[in-house]
Amino acid sequence: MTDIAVPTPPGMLAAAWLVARKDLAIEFRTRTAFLSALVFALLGVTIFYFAWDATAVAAADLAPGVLWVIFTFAGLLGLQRSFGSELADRAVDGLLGAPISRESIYLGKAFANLVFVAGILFVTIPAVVLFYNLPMGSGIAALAGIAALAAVGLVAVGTLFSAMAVNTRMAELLLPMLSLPFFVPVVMAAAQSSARLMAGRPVAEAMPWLRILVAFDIVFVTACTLAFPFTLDE
Amino acid sequence: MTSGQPSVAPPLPSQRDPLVGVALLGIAAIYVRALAFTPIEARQGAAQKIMYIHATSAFIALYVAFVLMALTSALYLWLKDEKLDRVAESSAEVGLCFTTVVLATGPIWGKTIWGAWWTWDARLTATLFLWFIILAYLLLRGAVEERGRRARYSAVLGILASFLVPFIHLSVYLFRTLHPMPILLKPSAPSLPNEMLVTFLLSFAAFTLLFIALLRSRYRLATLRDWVADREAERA
Amino acid sequence: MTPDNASFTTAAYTLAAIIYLAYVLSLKLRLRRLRARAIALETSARPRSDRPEGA
Repeated sequence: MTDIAVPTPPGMLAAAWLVARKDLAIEFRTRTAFLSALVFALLGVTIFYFAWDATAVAAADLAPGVLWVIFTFAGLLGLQRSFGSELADRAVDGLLGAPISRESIYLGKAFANLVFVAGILFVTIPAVVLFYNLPMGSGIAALAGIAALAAVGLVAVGTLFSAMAVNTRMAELLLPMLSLPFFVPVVMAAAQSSARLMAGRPVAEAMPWLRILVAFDIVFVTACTLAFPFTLDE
Repeated sequence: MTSGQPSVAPPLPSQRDPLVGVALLGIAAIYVRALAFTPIEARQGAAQKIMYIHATSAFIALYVAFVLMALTSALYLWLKDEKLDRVAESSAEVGLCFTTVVLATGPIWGKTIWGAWWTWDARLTATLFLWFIILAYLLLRGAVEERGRRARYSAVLGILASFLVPFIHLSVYLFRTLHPMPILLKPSAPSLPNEMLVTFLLSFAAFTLLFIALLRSRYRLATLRDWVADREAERA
Repeated sequence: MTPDNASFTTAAYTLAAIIYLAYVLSLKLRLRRLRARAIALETSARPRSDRPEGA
């Protein structure tokens, strides 16, 4: 009776990719959440410009701060929808019944969120460069790199808290309350390092901040992956 | 306390528990000693005395309350004992009270010494974030109704928060060293005159006693609340 | 010249006292309310204790 070929369950990363693909497919089909977050980000970038006295502060000096504030709030918008789709019809039970580790569910969802946030940044960063008259050049590549690191940190923490918040009565308020304190080191490190790099300062000046960013990513991706199974009711 | 027995006595704290009262008397004694029997520091003036409350409350908030909350959170996830969750919850709430005192007294001291109500120095900022985190912890607990899930969620937040605090500290410290800030006088000079040192130590003892008394009181409140919730659920 | 900031000291000490006392009071009040509910539950349960279990 052992001749029956039993398909082996996917390994952790493969399972995570399956979960991510499912989420991204759902998101891509309607695109509403993505487009809303995108519009929000672009409008925010514009509004911030008018919120400051352009003669007192140069737009280029303003740009890093604006970018990272918008990044934070647009990211939160994206995270809100992360686990919402499973609430309907208790679809989460289907996910939990699958032969994949709980950690892969988390990694898959986090990756889907990462793609979401990256998509927003992909449009927002050029918009900031455009509206705030930032000098183009190699600084933009560095900015993209920093944005990627910051997005990982944001998404790692936000995905976990989104899993918790979605089960509560005040999800929309709770997610920002839980996440924002954790976003602070990310935003601070990203803003400080990107401001220095965009102003043409030597990389060495930005290094301490970049180290904080990388350390944060490593610590919190690990911690949140390990903590995720505790947020599930089993 | 087994459920299913009709007339199990509720865990009512005895009406005559004096610990909180004794602790408050201890604090009053510190007030008297600090204000009337400790010399005024020459450079900072009388405002230096604020440190006897501010610094001790800050130490207890961060190194006792918060650490206890984080440790019991981790232990809860491991051992699943409800008592650990109740200690975490109590430590968080009492810690929030102490942190509020720190944030209220700090700017008053800062105004006299730095001339500014607030500066983003590492300690004050870390304390502010501690306050936000503990508040978020308590709000999370308020938002989750089922006890097991509430305990698990809070425990996860408690542990993650303990990883966050060093990052906040490091970030703000780095921020400060790269951005020159107004000169600040160190609140406690390395060599304190004896009377001030004694006041500090006595103050520390008194506030620790207050923390323990409040923690115990809050823990009993939590135990009683859970008992009542269980009985009311049985009736439903 | 030692600065004259005793008023700040008084303000800080008073504020701290208010916060701590307010918390102690909040604990007392919550405990009192819970105690009342617990006693109410216990007294309404007591008549049943004479009956055999399962009745």
